Order: sequence, then structure tokens, then C-alpha cells
Amino acid sequence: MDTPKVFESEYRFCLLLWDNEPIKSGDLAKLCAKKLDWKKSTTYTVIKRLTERGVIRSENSVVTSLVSKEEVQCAESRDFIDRTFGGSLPGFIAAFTSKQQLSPAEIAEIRRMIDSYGSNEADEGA
Amino acid sequence: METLFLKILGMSLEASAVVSAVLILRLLFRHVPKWLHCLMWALVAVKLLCPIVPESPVSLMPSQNFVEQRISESTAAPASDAPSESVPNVQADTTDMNRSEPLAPSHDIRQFGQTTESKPSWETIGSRVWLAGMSLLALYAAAAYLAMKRKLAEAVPAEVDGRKMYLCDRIDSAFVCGIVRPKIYLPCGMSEENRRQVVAHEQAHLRRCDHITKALAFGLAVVYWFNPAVWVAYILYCRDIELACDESVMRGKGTAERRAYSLALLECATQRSGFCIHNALPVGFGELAVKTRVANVLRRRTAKIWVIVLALLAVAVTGVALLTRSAAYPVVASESLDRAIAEQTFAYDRVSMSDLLGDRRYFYAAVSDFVGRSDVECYGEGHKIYGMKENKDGTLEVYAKCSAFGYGFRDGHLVINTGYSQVPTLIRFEKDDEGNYIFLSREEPKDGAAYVQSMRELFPRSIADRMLDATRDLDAACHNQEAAELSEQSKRYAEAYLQKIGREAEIGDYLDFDFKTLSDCGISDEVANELLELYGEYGMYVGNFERIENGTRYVYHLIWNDDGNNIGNGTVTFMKTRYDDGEEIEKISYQVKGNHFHLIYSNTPETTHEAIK
Repeated sequence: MDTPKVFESEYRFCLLLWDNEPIKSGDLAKLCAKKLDWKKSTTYTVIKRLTERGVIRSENSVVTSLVSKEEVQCAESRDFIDRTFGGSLPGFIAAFTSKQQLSPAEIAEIRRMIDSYGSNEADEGA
Repeated sequence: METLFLKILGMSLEASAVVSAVLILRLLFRHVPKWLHCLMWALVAVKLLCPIVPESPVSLMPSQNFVEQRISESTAAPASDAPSESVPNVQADTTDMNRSEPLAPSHDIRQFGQTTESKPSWETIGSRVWLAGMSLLALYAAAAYLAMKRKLAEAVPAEVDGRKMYLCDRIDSAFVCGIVRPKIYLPCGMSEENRRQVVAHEQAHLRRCDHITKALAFGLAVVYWFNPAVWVAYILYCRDIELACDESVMRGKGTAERRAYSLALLECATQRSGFCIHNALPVGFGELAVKTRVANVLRRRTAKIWVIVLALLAVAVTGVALLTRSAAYPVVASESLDRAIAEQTFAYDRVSMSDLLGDRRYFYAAVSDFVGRSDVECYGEGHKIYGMKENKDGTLEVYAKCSAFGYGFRDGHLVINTGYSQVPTLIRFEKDDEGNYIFLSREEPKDGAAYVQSMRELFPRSIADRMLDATRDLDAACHNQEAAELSEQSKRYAEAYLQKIGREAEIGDYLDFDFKTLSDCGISDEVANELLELYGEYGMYVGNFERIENGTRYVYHLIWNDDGNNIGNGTVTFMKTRYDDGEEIEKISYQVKGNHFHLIYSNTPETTHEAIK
């Protein structure tokens, strides 16, 4: 059977669960609030989602895990992402950089710029 | 709402000019650190944010922008021909952001060339379109923000370089989110090195408060969405911010660091995640191509100090020139105008015209002779011109505050006995062929409850506001300073008068000197009032004053001699003497004891005043 994929945030959630199970969902929510800065609604959403995926079980508001730490595969990032607004950032957010479409030639050129930097005198001064 | 829209329209126009100036500045100062460019954009922000524009003589902006001009042209009342009537200048207050009182129902905006009420005017249509556009954009932004918040709900805290940030597996770029409690969000799966560089960049954003200014800039772009210049400014500002952060992080860093940072830029921009976001354009809205940013990081520019100083100066000069506006009613002062104002002030107060028409070399002395009140033998005036307006028909309107004072001798000083101070006055003149000012009319606002309203009717809005401001408590110092200035102006007349009559004396307001009444000296109020009633012509102050009667100068004395015990017992003497030789014309003395007084001396036969019980 395929071990279910668990994403970074869910993985951290599971870590908490493995250390504290079995645990009442209410207490789990409080724990997530403390350790992960999660709102209660967020915790319940994750519980629901992971239950559907068969990673955890929630019965009579007591949560237990169905897979162990060794068994789980932590996927780095999701295959899906909200395509709302093209996934681009709102205009008022200050970011590092956006994803840009660069041809292999452009990428190579930039790499060259970086690699050759510092080796010639022209880089110094105005 | 229409007034707000029109105000926004006007400000938008002015802002376009500022944007153009900033574009030129950025071009002129290409090679300065990027934070200077961000500073230049601040000028645009100030212009877009501030509805109140101070007046300045060095401004390059007109006193009214295009929108305001159109408004005042279409709602200005026709010029009145009757000089004595107050012109009901009901200028619809469309530039109304400064109003403190609620709009009176009668001050509705006049419709531009529309007489029927069924057709909506262009301002109404315009304001609705503006609101609609703004709401749409705001909605879009709010939705984007909410979607973002949803994505970030499951972010987990992590510590990088001792600072708390959040890892989120549903985002693909790092950014700062939140204004009050900003948090740095990082995507998962970043290499240690990249993470370091990215966090440094985001921290630079926080240090520079970009999370606030960028949101503010966006907000302004939403409000002024109809103005392409504002969007240009916004886009360029966003780019300048990124470069400024890059420079901030890279300040003082060496080759290795710069290479690492550039690599992080490249990798983060091209990171092939499963969900590679397909941008329609190679570069996103408001963003710079990676190549440009890398090139900027790899170019180690040492900015010369003098260039930076010059740039700062240029920003300051541009700010003053474009963020202020010219005076709406520039004052062209001239001596002949001042004389014309003074002349009609005296005429208004019924000074003898024959004195005015005398030798102009002794203008001040000539007009200072006053025929009228008996306690005034000399007259002075002062005025401060707040603004002037030349009308197309050649008449000149002067908006001034006028003071006028009547002086008389008291205890040997030349003292103000009567007058008025700082009265807002509208004076109309006509100019003849030789450039002399011919007086047409003079008006003052009504007193009491109708004062503010009639001020607004009489004077242009900005002038009325300035005049009213000066009398509010907020500006008491300014008001007093003005009073002192006008008082000083008035003194010239008094000085000239003293010279003319060949006397020396101190000039001043009666407050400058210490005058006592009989009650102040300890006499019972009953006695003091009774004596005042009987000898009113001697005034209420102990001491003397002078009066000219039929060409002869007389001195009226009110003398109090305490009998030494300071309990209000003593003698009161009323004496009238001739100034030139001191001859006693009249002298009456009373003995005062407690609540009684009785006559003890009199050299006039008709004294019949009796003691009261």
C-alpha cells in the first residue's frame, strides 16, 4: 500500500500527534495553537483532511494516528496549488522575487554574470 | 460625494505634474542609491494624500488647479455695480475638505451649465464611475488578501537566524504579510543558503517599512485608479523598493556574498516546483527582471557624497516648488496703495477732508488732525493686506485688516482713547490714467452671530479662512503680533503730530500706563459713583487729560489726596486749567469720609452740589 504523502505543515502536525496521542481534539487544537500558532478552525480543517486521507483517525473527538513516523513520506511541496489569481501575489505584498519565465539561454547568461563577477576590475567603482 | 470626487480629480492632476518631475529627477540622478529614488516617490505620495496645500511664494503650481478653476469660473457671482452693497459671493464650496461646519443646505454645488434637475451632471456621473472603479479594485484586493490568508493558515513557525518566521507549503515565493504584526513567510524546500539570503531581503523590507508603504502606495493607486501617471509611479516605486532592499542587504558585502545573493535570486525565480506558475508576461506586474536585479547587485557602485547631497537638495527644492501652490491673491504693495487705504479709513471715520487735501509731504501729520470726538486730538491707522484681486473691469479689491486709533493726552502721554483693531475690511478701488487709486467702496462683515457667514460672503474662501484663523485661540500669538504691528503703524501718525505741535510725549495704548480710578484709591463705590455723576466731564481716572476747546488747550485734573490712613478718607479735587499758562478755570474740592462727602472749596459760583448723607 502506498504510504500517504504528508506535506510539511501536516507533517509538523503529525509530529505533535505522535508525541501526544491519544488526545482529545479540543486539547489537540490548543496544542497546535501553542506550538504552531494555528487557529482552532485551521486545526479542525487539518484533522478532517488527514482523516479523509487515512493518515489519522478521529473517533468520539479522540484523535489517534494510523501511520507511524517511520512509515510516512514527507513530501516537500504539493502538486496542486490554488490557482486563484494565477497564484501571483497581491500588489501590496513585499516579496523577494516572483517566478519568472526564463529561457535556458537567459538562465545561462545570468549564471555567467554571477560566475565571472569579482574576477575583473570593471566590477569595482561606479 | 461629488465634492470629494472633484477634489480627488484636482489632486490627481497636480500629482501627474509631480510624477513627471520625479521621472525627470530619477533620470538626472540615475546612479544614486535606490533609497533616494524611493524618497522621490514620497513626494508623489504626499501630493496624493494631502488635501491642504500651503501657499508659498516660490511655488511653481498655480493657485488653483484646472478643476478648481473650472468650478470657480462657473459658480462665481457676477460682479456687482452697486458699491455700497455687499456682493453676495456665494462661491459654491467645492474644494471643501477643510470645512469644519456642516454644509448648509443652501450651499449645494451649482451644476455646470445644467439647469434641469432630472439630468445628472457630469460630476455625479464621474463620481459614480470613480466609486465603482475604486470599489471593484478594492474588492479584488480584499479577495486576493483573503485568499492569501487562507493559504497561510497552515503555515508553521520556524526559526531562521534567531528570528521567528513561518514556513508555508502552499506558497512558492517568500514575502512579508501583515501591517500591524508583519510576518515573514517562506516556501518549503528552500536550501539553507537561499533561505538566508531571502530572509535578509525580507528583513530589509521590514526595516524600511516597505510592508506599510507598499500597501499605502497600492491604496493610493486604487483611489486614483483613473490616473495612469499614478500607476506608472506605483509600478516604478515597487521596482525601486526591491532594488533598494537588495542594496540594503548587500551594503558592505563582498564578492562571495553578492554571488550567493544573485544565485538565490536566480534560483527562486526559476525554481521548478510542481506548480510552476505560468505568468502571462515574462515579468510580473511591478516586478523587475531577474537579470536587472542581478546586474544591480553585481555592480558595486560607490556613490559620491556630493551627488547624494545634490540629489537630496533637488528633492527638497522639487518638494517646495510642487507641493505648495502660489498665493491666490498676491499682494502688490505700494506706498500709494497704502496711502489710499489710509485716506479712506480716515474718511470713513469722518476726518476733516480739508486736512487730507493739504501738503502731501506731511501726509501723516495732515491726516492726524482730527475733528470729531473731543477726547481725540490725533488720529492714526494701520492695516495689513491679506490679498488683492484685480478684476477684469479694472477695479481692484483689497482684502485687509484695518485698525484705527484716536489719541489724546493723558497725564502728559499721548494715549489711545478710542479706536478699533484688526477689523476685516473689503475696500474697492479704481485706478485712473495716472495710476492713482480712486476709492469706490468699503465694507465690513456683520457683527455677532452673522460674523462668520458674512465673512465668507464678503471675502474669497482662502482669505476668509486666513482672517478667521488668526482670531481663533489656536493662533493667538499671531493675532497679537499683528495687533502690535498695526499699532506700530499707527504710531507714525502720532509721532508726526507731536512733531507738528512741538511736544514730546510717550505714545501708547492706555493699557500701557497705570491709570487708577477713584475706587482703586480706596474711596467707597457709592461716593465714587456719585462724584462721577456730578463731574462726569473730568473722566474716571485720577490724573489729568487734555482737551482742545475752541482752539485753546485745557487740562482737566482729578486729584486725590489721601489723609494718610488709606481707608478712603481724604480730599477729591476737580480742577480745570489752561495749558499754556496754567490759569485755573475751575477748582472744586470735596472732603470724603467713608460714605459721605462734602464741599470744602469751590471757585465757581454755580456750584450747588450738596453732600449726600
